[in-house]
Amino acid sequence: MSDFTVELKIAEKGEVRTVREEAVRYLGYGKRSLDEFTEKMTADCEKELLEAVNARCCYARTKIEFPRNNVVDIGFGEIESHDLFTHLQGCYGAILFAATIGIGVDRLIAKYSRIFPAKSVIIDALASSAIEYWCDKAETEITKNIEKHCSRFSAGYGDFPLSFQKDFVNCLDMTRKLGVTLSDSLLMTPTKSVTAVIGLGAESRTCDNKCMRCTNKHCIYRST
Amino acid sequence: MNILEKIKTSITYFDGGMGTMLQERGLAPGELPELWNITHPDVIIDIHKAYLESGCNIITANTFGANRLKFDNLEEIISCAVKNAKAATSEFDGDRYVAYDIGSLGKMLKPLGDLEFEDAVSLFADGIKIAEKSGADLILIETMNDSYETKAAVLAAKENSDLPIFVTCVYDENAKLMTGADPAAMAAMLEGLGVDALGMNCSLGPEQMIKIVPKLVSETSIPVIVNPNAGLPKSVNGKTVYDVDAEAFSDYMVDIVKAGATIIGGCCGTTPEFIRKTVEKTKDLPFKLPEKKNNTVVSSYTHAVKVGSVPILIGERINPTGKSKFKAALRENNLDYILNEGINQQDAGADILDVNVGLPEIDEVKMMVSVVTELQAVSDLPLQLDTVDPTAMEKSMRIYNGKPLVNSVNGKPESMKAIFPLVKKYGGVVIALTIGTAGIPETAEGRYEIAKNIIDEAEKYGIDRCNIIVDPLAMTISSDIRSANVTLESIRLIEQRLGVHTSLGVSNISFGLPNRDFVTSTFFAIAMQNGLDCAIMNPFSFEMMKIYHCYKALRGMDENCGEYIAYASNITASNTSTVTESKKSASEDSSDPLMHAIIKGLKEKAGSVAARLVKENDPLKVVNEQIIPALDTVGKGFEEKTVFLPQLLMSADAAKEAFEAVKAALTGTDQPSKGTIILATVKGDIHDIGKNIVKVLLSNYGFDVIDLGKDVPPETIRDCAVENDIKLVGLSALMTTTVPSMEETIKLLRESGMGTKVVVGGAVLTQEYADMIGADHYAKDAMETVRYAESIFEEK
Repeated sequence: MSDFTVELKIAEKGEVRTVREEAVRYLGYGKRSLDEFTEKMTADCEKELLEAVNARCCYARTKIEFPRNNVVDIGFGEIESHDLFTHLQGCYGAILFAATIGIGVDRLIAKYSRIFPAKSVIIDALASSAIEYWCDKAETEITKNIEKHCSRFSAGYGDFPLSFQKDFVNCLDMTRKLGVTLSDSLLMTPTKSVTAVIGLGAESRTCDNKCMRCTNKHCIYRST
Repeated sequence: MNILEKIKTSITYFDGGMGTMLQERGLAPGELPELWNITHPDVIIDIHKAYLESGCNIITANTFGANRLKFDNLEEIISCAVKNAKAATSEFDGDRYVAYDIGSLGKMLKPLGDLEFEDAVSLFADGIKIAEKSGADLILIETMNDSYETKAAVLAAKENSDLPIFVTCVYDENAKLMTGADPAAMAAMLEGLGVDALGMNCSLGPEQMIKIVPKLVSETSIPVIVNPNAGLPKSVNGKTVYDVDAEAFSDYMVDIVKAGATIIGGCCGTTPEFIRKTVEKTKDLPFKLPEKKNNTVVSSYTHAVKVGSVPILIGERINPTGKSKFKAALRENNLDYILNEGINQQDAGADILDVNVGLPEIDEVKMMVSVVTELQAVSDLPLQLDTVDPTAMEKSMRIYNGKPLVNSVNGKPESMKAIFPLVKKYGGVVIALTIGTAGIPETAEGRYEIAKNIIDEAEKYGIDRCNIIVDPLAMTISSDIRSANVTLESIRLIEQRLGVHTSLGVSNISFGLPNRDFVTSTFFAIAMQNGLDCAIMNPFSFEMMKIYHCYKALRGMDENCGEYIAYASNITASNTSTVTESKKSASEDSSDPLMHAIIKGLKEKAGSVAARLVKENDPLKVVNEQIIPALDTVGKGFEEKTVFLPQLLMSADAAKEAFEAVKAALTGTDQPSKGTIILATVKGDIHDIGKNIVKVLLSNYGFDVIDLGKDVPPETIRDCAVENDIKLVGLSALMTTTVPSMEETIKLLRESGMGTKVVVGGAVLTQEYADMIGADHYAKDAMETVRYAESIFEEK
């Protein structure tokens, strides 16, 4: 049995930031810019959000094999998914990755949804950009000595079954390490959390545009 | 010697890591270690024995993840685990004990997650009953990230066994749990619940834990447990390596004992070698338990508030007495209004929030539970639970995430009999009113006597006097001019003779007088000078807050007058008198100022302009000619993508203020409602931001909304629709996995034969999905839901 080490990384204060352009896009502005008033409110929200952020990630390396068509063996279980199978072609291994920006963010959004809905949607959008930023940053660091790797591929993308969230939570010890829990319907709390597989040894051919990986062709946030 | 005697007389040792040792012996990643109790008992017994040989006293049975969510054969798993542990201890002499090990359920509790508090209690209870029956010596609740889940586990232990309870939580380097609690908050809650030892484990190595130990030792009077990791895990050449070795670990543990921990061991990455060296180096160190603290302290899920050094402000505004708007909110189940009152008081400077939701015509028990549940999710202030209904008190103390302030007990036997057992069981600081069987004594001496009697009686229940705050009652001077003096004298007597802290509902003092704040705030100043520790007061009162900040600065409680300067620098001449009429809006630059205010999303202005307009005009005309057209302008802008979501919501909020003003003018006559709509995020889905947006818009377009919340079962939605004869239901779902429960809900609604229309929306929804599950309409955004609702209700 190969060794399986789950490593933990806790973000320093100030290490996570928001990506304004992304948040503005999530809010439906597309490429238009904010008016002055919303701009100011967004700046206030940003400050409050970053105060509430408690970002962590954990990850472990594993071998992968492709025993049959459309099946990926990740060392301790098989996943049946055509899209994941395609995405990981040529990889010898993978990093199982999970990240969160913490439950304080959920509380903040819940609070404003009760007293100031406009702020709650802005913070929600900023928080979505922050978790993406944190994932990107952590991924860059984790993979810095690895010659070739794919971008993140999450359960729920394409036909990669969401039920795999259970395995993520178990094998990465996510509740203990990140405080991330799973609801009966496989949603993570804190809500601004991400799990993903990062293939090692090849550059994936399917992943340059995140939106293109998604099967929801009618999504209003779809970037192209 | 039993374990409770043992921990009070000498350093007690826990074992070290189990997971890493099992992995070495072949446990695969993702495999459940608890199954090995059945499949590999010899391995488990061997590991326990290795730890016992290293000198530890307590071995933790291999039950960390054993709960009903993961295992159908729970009884077998736990009984085997305890049996294995006992098989190991039976071979050793000396003080050896078996701990039933409880870890997190891996679920977040409501309202942030989807697990009911009581379900958590019962999941923990299942395992505890089996463990006690199997012969465990104590219960170890460990690696807890969340104070709320910890409380559920402790209650389950108290209610289902007589075993000693030890609790350790996971702190980060900033000495906080991932869900926010600091050591003082955890110590307050856990000691209040009556656990036998508390501390920390996992996540950090011993070096980082050394800094946190004093924070625990200085806040608690019971033994402190420290079980660190062997540093942090790293993968080196494909092998797991922790960065602190046994030698260094045990050196740190010497310092940890010197800092005041008396129960020590290891967590992830530690092995029998770590424990052996730790025992060798620490066994002859002086044994010293934490001193008894006698602090009067309450807590929230993040922090503790200590009574005594600085006056504590208890916000009194969550209370329907004399507030028609608040009463209406209770009747309409309008939690948002109530939560707003809470958050605004926090922003105004309250330290604790009083929660009183008693109204004869509502179900107080239910309301108390929902307000406390929701309030503690959005505010981090400790709560003062204020009810005369013992059931409401018990239920709310039970689900409270921390150690509450309990309002109140009095000197009548029946009151003490009802309240003291609750304080003993759930923990809390209780406000003791000096009311006896014969009422409120007119003299300070008489009130002191009652206070003394209450404290003596509490002692019989095992409640320490530090958990009692006496309220010697402020009575209005308008009916008896001596009453303030009696109250002040009572404060002095009670504090001097009984050594307890005091609280007052200060505003009673001015009842019946004009400009009451003048009198109340002056009395507040005198009372603080006489030793008053807490005031139940109105944090929105300018006079009260002024006195409070000045008093603290004058009495040397405000370093460099920092708080005073921050407060007073923002006060302008126009603020300094609260008795003037609210000023006219500064810039009424538009010919239709209300429309302008709504379109621009200016909430206060919209409210004040509307209030003025409805005095001069027919309120319904204001709605139809100003509010609705303004909302339409914004709505069209949103549809044409010139106005975006934040602005849409700002405008909706402004319109809401305007509607409030109109409603106030219409009291007694017909209120403008276009119809009633149910909204819900369907079963299994805990994302409600989209549904909340729709709710805001619908209510500001004049619809009444019954918001059933998130994760709502199909039956609840159907029942509510039938009961209220609902024409339109809006369902929201974020994830594809929850679309089936949307379908199920629609099916039930159809079967009820009501002809209710269903509009669906949410991130994953598409027209195709909507058609597939049989919805009447798919709305791509909130505005479209409004348009659809309008079309449905116009049809009639």
